[in-house]
Amino acid sequence: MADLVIRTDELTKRYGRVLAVDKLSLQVERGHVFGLLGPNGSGKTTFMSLLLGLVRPTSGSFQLFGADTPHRDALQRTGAIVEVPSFYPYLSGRKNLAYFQGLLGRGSAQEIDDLLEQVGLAERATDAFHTYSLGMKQRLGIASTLLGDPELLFLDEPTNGMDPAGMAEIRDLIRSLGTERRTVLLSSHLLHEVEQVCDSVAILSKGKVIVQGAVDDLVYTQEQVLLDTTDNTAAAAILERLDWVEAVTTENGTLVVTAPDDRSSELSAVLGRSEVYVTQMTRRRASLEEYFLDVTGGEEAAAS
Amino acid sequence: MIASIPRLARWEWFKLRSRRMPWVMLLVAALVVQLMFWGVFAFYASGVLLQSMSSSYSSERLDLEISLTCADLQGEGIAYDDYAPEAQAELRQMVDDMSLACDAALQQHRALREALTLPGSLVVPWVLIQGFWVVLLMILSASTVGVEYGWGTLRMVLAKGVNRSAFMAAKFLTLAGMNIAGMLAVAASLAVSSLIATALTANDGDGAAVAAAPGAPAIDWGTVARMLGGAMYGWLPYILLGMFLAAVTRSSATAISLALGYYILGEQVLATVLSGLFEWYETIRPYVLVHAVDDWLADAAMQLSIGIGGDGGPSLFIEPDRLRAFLVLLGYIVVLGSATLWAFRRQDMAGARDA
Repeated sequence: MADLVIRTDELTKRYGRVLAVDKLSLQVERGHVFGLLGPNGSGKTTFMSLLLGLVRPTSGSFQLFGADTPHRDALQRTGAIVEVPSFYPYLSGRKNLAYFQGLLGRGSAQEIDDLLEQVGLAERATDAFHTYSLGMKQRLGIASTLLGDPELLFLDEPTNGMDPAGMAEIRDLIRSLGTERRTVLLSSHLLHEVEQVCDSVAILSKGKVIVQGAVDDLVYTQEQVLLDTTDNTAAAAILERLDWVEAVTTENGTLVVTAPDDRSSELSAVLGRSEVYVTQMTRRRASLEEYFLDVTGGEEAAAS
Repeated sequence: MIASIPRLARWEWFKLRSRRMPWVMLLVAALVVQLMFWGVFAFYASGVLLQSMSSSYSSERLDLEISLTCADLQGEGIAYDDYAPEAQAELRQMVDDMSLACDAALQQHRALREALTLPGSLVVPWVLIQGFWVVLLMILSASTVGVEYGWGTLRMVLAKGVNRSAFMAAKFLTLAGMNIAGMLAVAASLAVSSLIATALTANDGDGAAVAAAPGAPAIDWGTVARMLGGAMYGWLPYILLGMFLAAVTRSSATAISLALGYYILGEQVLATVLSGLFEWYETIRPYVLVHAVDDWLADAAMQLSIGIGGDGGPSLFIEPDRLRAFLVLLGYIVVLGSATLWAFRRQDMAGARDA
């Protein structure tokens, strides 16, 4: 049985007439980097807030680290930034970390130095938080989530406000955080970020999970091959008869064949036997963004 | 939960002492107290109480005009034989009247001196700035809780698994501790001023007179400790009121406005108006916060009325039921504390608003 770090059962949060999270059931295994993807207002942040005890559920239940772990104990093993990283503006980055380390009741000054170094804030460690740029605030937020070496991380839009180099740096860091013992729950409006960083993903829309699974599995279902042949009409007829080919369409005169990744190489051989020869073959791996647009019907996707 | 409170309080203290606001408040309070102290000193040093006391006698028939001050009555006194026999009787009557008035003025003069010297100097300013200090306390309390909402830091704190009740209890203990530390700091500044004032008036001869004066108000160190301790307890409800308003409104600015509104309209205007206009108000009066605090701190007020108000003070002073005041304040502490925890525990935490 999988070692589940997060398990929710029909978790629901209603704000008046607005249903922010609607009977959301989700399971996250240990050691995964799990992405929460969805348009603005789809309930990602509310879902994280529910799990962190910041918001009380209207109905449903959830467990962190299994049913035997009291919620407060679970939070002691968790690091989180939800929405924007919020710190005391008059304290320096180092003092802010010292404070949050103090709340945990464990850790050392060396740990703070190491974390500041890890997120690239060592040189500005003694400056007041209010002097930091948004990107630096994000870095400090990530450093604070790592205090006490937590087993579970909640990262809500962690690269928001960063420059491209910083984003790549933080993505590498997040990727490295998902280890055997550590699990990361990442919410991001940057679809390619989720695709690059996450092992699994849940796509949310209007508070509901539309689809959940491994990123590779979700993208795999959309594996496509672009084909140009000596006779595209005949090729289409031949390929449509194959039971492992899901679909054959045409885009600007080019055949678009949807087929499993491991069998796409057979296309050329099958067509060759019918004396239809491939003149050009290009694999097109559908991005998570395309899949996301597909399953959410493009809802607010551009904005999010 | 209870075990974590001292640790949380330690870190609350870390945050609070790093803020500029409490230090500015302390500086302002210390300046106000020093201003009052040296104002009293200037009044005392001018000797105006004694100098303003004068009496004159004139007679056209005897072609005589005499003017006396309290200073004239000291030393060798009046040489009555230098005056005509008809004038001597008038003069003796005048001197007797003047002696009584001068004794009263001297009593007040000496009381002022006691208010300037240790340990009395540590008490009197507190009675005078009680309202100001209470307002500062409410502002600090409301701000300490309210900014956590505004900056969004509450979410970060609670996401670390910190117990909400323990967090609020730690805040309360820290604010109460800050109140005590602030009072002691102001008291220390007063002590320094007292020593300076005592040195400046070392040769005016009133020191021994104050000690020897029969019936003079005696503010000893025990009284000082009792009064400062009483004030520390009596002002706890105001700390909780500030915290409660911030927890309910989730905004330091709104909470501070409401706290100031309560103090100005509720305590200064409404309580005074109702007290003067309606008899029924007397029934509930002991249970109204401002009056309960007054009753609880009546010891200090009484000392002040004896000292500053002269010998008429004690006879006009009605000893309040201090035990009842203690219990009423305890009730406020329990109710406001519970209401704050109740409001804080049940609310959802939104994100930062002005971070």
